[in-house]
Amino acid sequence: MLEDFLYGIGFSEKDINTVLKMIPKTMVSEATLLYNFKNLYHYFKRNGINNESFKSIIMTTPNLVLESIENIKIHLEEFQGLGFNRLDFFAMMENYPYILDLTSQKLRNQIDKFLSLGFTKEDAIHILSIYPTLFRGDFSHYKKQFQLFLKFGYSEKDNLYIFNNQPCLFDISSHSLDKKFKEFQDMGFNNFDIIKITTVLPQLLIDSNILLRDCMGDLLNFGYSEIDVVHIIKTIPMILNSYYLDSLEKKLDLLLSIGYSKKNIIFMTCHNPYILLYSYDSLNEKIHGFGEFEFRLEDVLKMFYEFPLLFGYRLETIRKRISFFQEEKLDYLIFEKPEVLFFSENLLRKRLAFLKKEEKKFKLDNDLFLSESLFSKKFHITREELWKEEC
Amino acid sequence: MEGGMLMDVLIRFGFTIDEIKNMMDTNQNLEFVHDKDIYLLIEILIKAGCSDEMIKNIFLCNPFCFSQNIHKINHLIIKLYEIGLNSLNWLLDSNPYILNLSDEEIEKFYEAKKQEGMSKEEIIDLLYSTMIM
Repeated sequence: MLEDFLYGIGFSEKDINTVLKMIPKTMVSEATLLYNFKNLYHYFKRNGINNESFKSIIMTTPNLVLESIENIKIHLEEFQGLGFNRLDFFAMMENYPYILDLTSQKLRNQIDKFLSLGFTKEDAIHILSIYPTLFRGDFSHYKKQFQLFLKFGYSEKDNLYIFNNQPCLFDISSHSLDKKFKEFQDMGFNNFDIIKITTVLPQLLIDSNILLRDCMGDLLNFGYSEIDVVHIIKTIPMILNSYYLDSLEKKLDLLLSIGYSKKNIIFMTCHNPYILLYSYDSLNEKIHGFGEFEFRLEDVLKMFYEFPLLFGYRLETIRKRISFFQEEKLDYLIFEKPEVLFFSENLLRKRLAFLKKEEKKFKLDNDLFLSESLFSKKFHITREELWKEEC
Repeated sequence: MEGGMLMDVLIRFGFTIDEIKNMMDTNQNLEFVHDKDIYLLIEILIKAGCSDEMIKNIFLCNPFCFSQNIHKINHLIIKLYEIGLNSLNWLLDSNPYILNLSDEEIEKFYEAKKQEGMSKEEIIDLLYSTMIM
């Protein structure tokens, strides 16, 4: 009967033998054991533990079946009293059933120790929930691990963030960590770059560097230099996510197919690496979104090439800015010096209105685009004062 | 589930479904961003003087700013004010990518330019007129 029940919920013959061997038969009859198993199974099931996880919990701690449900409920209440929720508790049970062996004093002490590193209580609970083995480990080792990162150059803020994101970093050996940092350094990244990249993607400190190597390989094959690749990855570390890597080739192909040479693409994407993260549709829409202006495609390509930040601007924003230049008969500037599109049309309108109102002598195609301080010096008005001016 | 709440917040702010899809295509982690963080981010940008239109520009250009830690963005804004950039709305509207930098990176940039012999005024001009990222 007991075996039938266990078969029914996914245990193999081998699993059943292993589990039953570990439960001292003298302590309990088979009928009681079956009753306990059923009770425990239904209790866990009600709390979101599926058959596979139930099997894994029982295989790790078979003696759990000798515990009363009431006892488990007492543990749950203790955890809830400390700030864990029901889901945290059962998720921890699933990954680390030994948590039931911990006294409430031990739980409280361990939380307090994490608070002493600077984590908030919410963070400490999050860390222990997703990596419950930290309940039992040697805290002095964790503290040392935390300090190792500070010594490398991570700020306390960075440290709290990466450890909160990847609590298993508390367990990684210093040898593995050194090896990981060395791999980054060998690829051309300095310590500051490594900190920046791993603060954006802390999992890179745990995972193998396959994605990093793939990304570097793809870009080098396209024609980027090693310096370019390091620059791109440190500017947009999120490119190391497989989601972006998978579409990288398609985006580079799109830019080639609309008329850019590899050299142009490298120039643009080194100036604005975010281009490599925008969706294919978004890039395509930008290039072909100026129908109403009747621009030639080659002019549009030149405009984007010379001012690659435009790839990030909203089409509507670019259109509004272009309209301003057309109204003022300055549209030739869009192609001569596309960086003029960096200026918001609202600021340009304010400047123009002010210059006209004050009857100042000015060169429209130059003075309108002066830097903040030069405009202010030449026309004796600050940006704040200008903003208060009526258009 | 959270993706749904995020949609609600963005739609309420005036984004179209296509624009939201565009941002989600660009930042694939957007669906995991909590609506509370979006409200906080919008609040920070409004305090920096950004209009709704500017905020839309910033989010569409740089949907990665949603994945930044709000405290980190707050520190960055404080640093930019400290340097003397008083028209942050213009700066963020022209170069939304700046939101992905940390206060330490801005500090480093500032110090490096100072070492090169630039005055505070020139560095401020540079920050207003170049796409530092």
